[in-house]
Amino acid sequence: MSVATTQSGSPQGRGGSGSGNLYDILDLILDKGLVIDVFVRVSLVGIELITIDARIVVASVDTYLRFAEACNRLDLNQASNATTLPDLVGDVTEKGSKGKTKGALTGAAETFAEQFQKSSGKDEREEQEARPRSRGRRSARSE
Amino acid sequence: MSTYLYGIVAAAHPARVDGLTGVGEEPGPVRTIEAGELKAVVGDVDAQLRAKRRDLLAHETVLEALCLQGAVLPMRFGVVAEDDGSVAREVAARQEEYRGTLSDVDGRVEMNLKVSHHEDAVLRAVLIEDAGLRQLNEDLRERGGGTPDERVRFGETVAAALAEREAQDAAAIVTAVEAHARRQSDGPAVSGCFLNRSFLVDRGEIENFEAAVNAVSRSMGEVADIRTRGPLPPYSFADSPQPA
Repeated sequence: MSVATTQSGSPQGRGGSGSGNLYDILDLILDKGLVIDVFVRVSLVGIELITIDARIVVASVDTYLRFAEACNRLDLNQASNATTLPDLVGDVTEKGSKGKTKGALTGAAETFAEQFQKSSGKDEREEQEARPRSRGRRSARSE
Repeated sequence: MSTYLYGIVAAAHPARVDGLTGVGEEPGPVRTIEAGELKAVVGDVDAQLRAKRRDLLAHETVLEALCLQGAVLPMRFGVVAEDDGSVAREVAARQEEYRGTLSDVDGRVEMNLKVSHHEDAVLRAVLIEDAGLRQLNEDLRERGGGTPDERVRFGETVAAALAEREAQDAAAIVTAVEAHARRQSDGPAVSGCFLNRSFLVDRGEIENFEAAVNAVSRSMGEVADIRTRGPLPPYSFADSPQPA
């Protein structure tokens, strides 16, 4: 069963925003839209890091090994139409060997989602939220 | 204080923005600036604004409200001008171009599709379809996984089969929905998704577009996850089409 998670609601009032949906359109808000060259852009430190994370495309020996392992543990005799979505999710999160519980395809996306939710769950007024993490240890950070 | 830009609308657009919360730590009102035959929808922000999640949400909320009232060119998040005067000047200077793009998106919205494969389901599908891969898999499994080198080579072959499957499914999805769209535009690469594409859809076609998405989604069974977002302001169609 695949899921088309179309927005619900009345045709006029539907939108893409809302806390649960903002994540899926961040790429459009941050990378698309009209730009006027002579104007500046507000600092996106922190937010930029998140979107860079989202674009990590894994194509490596590590991925290949994980695909091989994943194929090895698949039971092809299991009737595929008897596998419900919750079962599949369970496969990915529970059957993964040796603690490598994230599938190679979904791992980075989950990381992004977790990271975004984590940062959005913080107190909105917390100043560190938008600081560049890579430089978070600078001694110049005056309190 | 600087002037934050949300979007550009025609002078005749109602631009009812009262009561909307803008960006910034202590958001001021959302207002409009006359710019020739256009209006820029703006707000005041601290020049030192550091973007946070609430600001992204405010940007999107203002643009969705405008989009419901008429055609809008949404700005990319975070565009800040020195003051109102420079906004009026720059927007008026390019009003021909902006008016052309506004008429392109008038009565239309952006629908975005992000598509990923469920890993186990797609692996199962490619193994079932490819007898050679299936044989290799069984062979390696019987030998406890094979040598590291064999596993890498097998995984690489699987990765190629997955890539092929992604291309096929992407093409099938686009073919299924594009009849209901005026234009389309690829979004940035998003990890986990093999297709991230936006479509410019007439408001009257939204239901048909969604029905086409649901139909193709059903036809792919458990393998593909299609996430539809929209109707959205036309972020991906706000720049005038580049001359070829």
